[in-house]
Amino acid sequence: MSAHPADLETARRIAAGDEEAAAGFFRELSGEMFGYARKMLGDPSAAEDALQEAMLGALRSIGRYDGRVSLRSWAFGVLRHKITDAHRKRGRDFVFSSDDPEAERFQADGHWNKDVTFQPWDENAELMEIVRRCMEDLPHNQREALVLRALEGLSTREAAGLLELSEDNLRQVLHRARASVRRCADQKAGDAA
Amino acid sequence: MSSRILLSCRESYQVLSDYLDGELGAVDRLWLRGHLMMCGKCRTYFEQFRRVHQLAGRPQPEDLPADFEEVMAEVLRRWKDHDSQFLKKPADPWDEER
Repeated sequence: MSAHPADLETARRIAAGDEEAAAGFFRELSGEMFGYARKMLGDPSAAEDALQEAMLGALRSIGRYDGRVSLRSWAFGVLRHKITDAHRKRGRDFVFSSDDPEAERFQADGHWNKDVTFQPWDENAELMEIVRRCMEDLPHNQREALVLRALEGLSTREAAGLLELSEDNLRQVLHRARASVRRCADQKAGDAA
Repeated sequence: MSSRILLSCRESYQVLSDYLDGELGAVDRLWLRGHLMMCGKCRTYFEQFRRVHQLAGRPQPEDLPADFEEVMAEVLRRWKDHDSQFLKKPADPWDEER
């Protein structure tokens, strides 16, 4: 039995050619899908192309949707492949990283190094903008994990499935991504002060 | 995680993401909170990490392109054209003879 019977019904209607069901589905998701594509590709026009290709690809293959994951997660999976294609077409290299950004800042006994200090951030700093800029510098796998994990309603399990990672790996990538953004934001917030 | 009641800074740092994602067990949560109460450096670090957790990747439905409805209409047209081509494909003459 499907874990997502309502999604299976929506998919069945779309596969049968119901344009209204298809338009409704994409109107609901397109904002987040476009946001995801923009965060991964940078350029709004490339993001729009990827979204368009993903919508068409999803419509043409929706007959194969089997309800094991949510339709939303499935649609993001289609978009993820289109984003990967777009990256490759632009000749971009995928930069991956599994480095722990704080690994060198601890002493052997597990305490922070003596010279490491943290100052509270100025609450007036443009943190949202600083964090957005820091995310642009993240390796591809870390940025993708942060963006997909933050989507409402997407469980760790679904996000891991989408990213073709084990749940443990996803948790590790997420942790390192957040630690890298924190460190970058700390530097930028300090520069701005 | 460690079986000690007192966590080191490194051990606390390593579980922050799981804690914020609600994926840390009850006992580990208590150990972490205990460490944060006692360690000022980790407390400041945690507050910053929490802000990043709140802000990074947060979906913000970006303003869709002004022509989104037209783009979607074009997608639906291409989809329908593709389907109708498939449906109207001439029958294989061999089918009738079989």
